[in-house]
Amino acid sequence: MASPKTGQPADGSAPRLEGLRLEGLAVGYRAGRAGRRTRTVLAGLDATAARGDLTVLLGPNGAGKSTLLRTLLGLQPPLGGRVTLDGVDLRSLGPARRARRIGAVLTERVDVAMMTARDVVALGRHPHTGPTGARTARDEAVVSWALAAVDAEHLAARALDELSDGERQRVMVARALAQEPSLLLLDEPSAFLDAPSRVALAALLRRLARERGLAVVVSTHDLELALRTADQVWLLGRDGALRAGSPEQLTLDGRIAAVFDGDELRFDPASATFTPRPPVVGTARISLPTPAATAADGRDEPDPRAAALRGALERALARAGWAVRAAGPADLEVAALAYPAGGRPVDGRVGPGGNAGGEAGFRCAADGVTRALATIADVAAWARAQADARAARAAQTGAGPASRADGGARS
Amino acid sequence: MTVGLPGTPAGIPPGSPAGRNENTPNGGAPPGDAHHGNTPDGRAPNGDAPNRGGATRAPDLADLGDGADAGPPGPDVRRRRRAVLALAGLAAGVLVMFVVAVAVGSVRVPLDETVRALTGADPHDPRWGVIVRQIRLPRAITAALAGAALSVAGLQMQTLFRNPLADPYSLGVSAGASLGVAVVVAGISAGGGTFTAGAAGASRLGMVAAGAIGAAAVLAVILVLARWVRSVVTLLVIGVVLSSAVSSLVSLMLAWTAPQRAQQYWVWQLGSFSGTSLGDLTVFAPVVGLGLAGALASVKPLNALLLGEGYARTMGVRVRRIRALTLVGASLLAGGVTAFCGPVAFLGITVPHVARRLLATSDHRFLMPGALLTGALVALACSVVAQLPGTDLLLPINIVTSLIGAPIVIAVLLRARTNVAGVA
Repeated sequence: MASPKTGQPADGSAPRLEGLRLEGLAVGYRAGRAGRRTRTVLAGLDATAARGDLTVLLGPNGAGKSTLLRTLLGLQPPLGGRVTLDGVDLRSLGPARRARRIGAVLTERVDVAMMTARDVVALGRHPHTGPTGARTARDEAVVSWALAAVDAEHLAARALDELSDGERQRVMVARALAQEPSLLLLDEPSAFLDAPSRVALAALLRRLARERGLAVVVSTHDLELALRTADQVWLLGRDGALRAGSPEQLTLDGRIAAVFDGDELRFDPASATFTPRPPVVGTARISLPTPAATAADGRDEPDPRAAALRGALERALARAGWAVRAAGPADLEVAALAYPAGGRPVDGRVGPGGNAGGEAGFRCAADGVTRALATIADVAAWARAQADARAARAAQTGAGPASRADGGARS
Repeated sequence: MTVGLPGTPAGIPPGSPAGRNENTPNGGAPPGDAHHGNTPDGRAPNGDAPNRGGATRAPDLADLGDGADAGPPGPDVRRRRRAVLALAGLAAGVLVMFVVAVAVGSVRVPLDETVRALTGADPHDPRWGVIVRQIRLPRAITAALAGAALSVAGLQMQTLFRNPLADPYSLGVSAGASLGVAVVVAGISAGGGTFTAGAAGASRLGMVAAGAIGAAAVLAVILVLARWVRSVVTLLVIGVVLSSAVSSLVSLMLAWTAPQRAQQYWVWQLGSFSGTSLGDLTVFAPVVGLGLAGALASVKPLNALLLGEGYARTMGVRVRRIRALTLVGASLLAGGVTAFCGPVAFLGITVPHVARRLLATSDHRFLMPGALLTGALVALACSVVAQLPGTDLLLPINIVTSLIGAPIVIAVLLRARTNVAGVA
């Protein structure tokens, strides 16, 4: 997946396909007559988005993501600095030439009656057709290609207003592709989408960037997915600064956490996910059945069921405010006695091999009292009750809760 | 792809989407292909054509070109064929209805005599020649032009405002014309002092001119406002409010006008295709023709506007310019019709919906001529109905259009699930 990196052409003489470059860009709004008054939203932006890379624009609400994208699209003029695409200043391009280089998916909801998906994609040929808008065989071929590129051929004859949100968004990406752009800009393309569609769209965009050599810039709120799929992240901080880098670099530098952490929310660099952070009431320890007991075929591999079960228990305990520790003394002890038959927990119930009866699946101990609980739901309820009891005791004695968890020492 | 700059291959190799398509029908690009779009040294992607055998590409492109017509987009072609057929049927319908409109009236003129009169020969009864040439022919031409003009203007407004209930008068053009006419009518009344003065009332020429000036004045206000207003929705609301305010002004003036004079206004208000003389047509026809030509020339940007102004701009449409041109064109059409025929109701809002259903497309390349023909057909039919053939009665045209139009508007609203947001 070698993609050409900006600024590193094979040789200096050839024209560089460097993709999108921002140089000291300032974006914002002009107001008043002749735009004398300006309101700068972001200034001094320097970044690049290389061809072949999926670049994700991240930032909290109100950081100016849309303003930046609208400026890149030419929907509003830059207040300063410049934007170049493959070395060409975008301001030197007229609307039609710009439209042949930049395709966009906007947040505007498109709802057109009596138009098929193919009709909508064909609108993308607008900058290439003559004054009548008549399409040549080549235009039709490009439309077919664009539909194929997003795997939406089967939608071609369907009416746009009958499509699901995910299908509609694919069609809008195809419409942008039909402009034959070298840069795709997408503003919150997954805002309306369900989780599977979001993942599919992210995969599609990355594939398009790779296969078509497009520079793709996407703004999104879906930080976790972005960090998994992006080649590069443009991170807009609350201070209005734009930091570009690989998602891993920004994560390890603590930049992501610095921008997004809040009172109720914590960014976990290890898993690149957000976790809620309730006040911590105490510590807990989890023990699982030994793999040897279940790995009858003698393979010496980590039991995948162990990770799943441990994760489930950790989340259940963390939700109630218990920080899970790998070892050492803890306030709570939760021991799973067996894995469910077939390797997948059914209804959260964990029973010894093949036994689906009401037998206890967990042994839980707190404050010297040990209880046998049947299901993971019981464990969650028990952990919550323990947390409530402890908080009540702490309130009585006037002792504050323990410090906030730092994620525990995960093994 | 007309990007002639070296080293700027877009996603698709210039001129060979087919060749690319051949290799990557579903995006499953072979590894070699992945380099095409992004060769860092700027080599044209099809520089490594030997990979795929350059000799086969041209035939492939031809194949695909045919395929685009016969293969996967089959439904596309069927729909286009349907639209073309519908347009042909509408054109034939307009011709037939035009003949009917000329042939029918309070005086019974035999059909063959009508044809004789139209072809220049003298009919047996000289009065028939006068009736056909001086009265019915101008009336039919006026109806056809007015129907076409209002329908096309309605379609332009509905697309521009992305609102199914926008019509040619949404911006207050007819209210402006009404004000002009009311000023003339009331002014004569006030100037005359008594209602015997100016027994002829306002001249027809005066009323037409006043209507045109009133419509133009409102249009000018709207255009000035449109320079500042970014949102078309705001513009639409301003139009509605302006319309309402101007109408109140008209009511106020008429309240102080002698009822006999005011009557002239109310008759004008009911609309008529009958008042237009052949002389009037020498002005009316070019005005409408200009507006219609402008509308037909703007089908491409209007198609882009279907997706909203933002998308239209990303596709290279100069939105402000198109918006201003469309406002001027639609107002020219609506203002012209209102000046000559009065504020003919309902055609402008309903016909675009009917045309959309007839043609089963929102593509303005078909819809615009479709609305034009449907409008002419419906207006001619209304004009025939208004004559109440066989009687001496003449219904005001607005009574007819409203009685036909109201059920259509209701039906459209009831089907709003598919229509409301997008129409256009």
